[in-house]
Amino acid sequence: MTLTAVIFTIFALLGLWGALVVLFAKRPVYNALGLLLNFVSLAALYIMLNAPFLGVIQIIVYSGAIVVFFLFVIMILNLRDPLKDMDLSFKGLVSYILIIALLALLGVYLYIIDLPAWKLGPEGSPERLGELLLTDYLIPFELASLLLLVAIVIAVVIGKKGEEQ
Amino acid sequence: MNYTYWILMLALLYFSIGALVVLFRRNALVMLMGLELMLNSANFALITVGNVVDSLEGQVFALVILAIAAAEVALGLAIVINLYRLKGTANIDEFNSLRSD
Repeated sequence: MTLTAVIFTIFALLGLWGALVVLFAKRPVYNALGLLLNFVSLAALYIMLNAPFLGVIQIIVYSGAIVVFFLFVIMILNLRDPLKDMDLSFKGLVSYILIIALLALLGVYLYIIDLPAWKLGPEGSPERLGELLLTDYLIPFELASLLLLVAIVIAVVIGKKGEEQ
Repeated sequence: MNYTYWILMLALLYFSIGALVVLFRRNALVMLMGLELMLNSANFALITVGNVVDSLEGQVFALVILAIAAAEVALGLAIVINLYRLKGTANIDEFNSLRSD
């Protein structure tokens, strides 16, 4: 294994650790911090996969905005009382088994089909991404900005309605 | 050893952990975190495949998904805050009536 593969594996395991913290930790603050660990290690993986712009955006948007947003909401809600959290009913166990089966089936499928050999593609620098976004993918780009505007307006309206009661 | 397979399997593992969080946990906030995990692993798989097929479009799609994830989490947390004000809990099993009594 080359040095790159070793570093990649280390960050992959860190991300796995963060995801498992989200799954198993009891307190919501620990869940949010596990989510942060997952996001940061995924940003490192993006940079190693020739997507430096997306890695930086991942850190700014996910780690900087979304995790902080989660932490604010946890502090506002004051979720200190322990709630009956894990769903260990029959229904929950069936869904658990279904997800494990889905993972196994997809893994086997990916193993059977002929995946193309691994190679690094073009580097996703801001210039080239911006050029693509403003020429070939202009409509999805503008639709995404419209979606963000709608989301802001709806979030403000929902929050206000809660205040009045 | 084909690295493509292992990187895609890693994305699959993250996705299934996210799905397990959504199905397993009963706290609405933690369920939203599971949704974020799933969207992130989809981004990861898109970037991987974009590298393999030698194009930048995977990264463009990942950028759009990132914007959608930001919108989704803003709306989801606003809804969770409102539900908490209504019922005094974030347990998803308590939200079983359509009326706001």
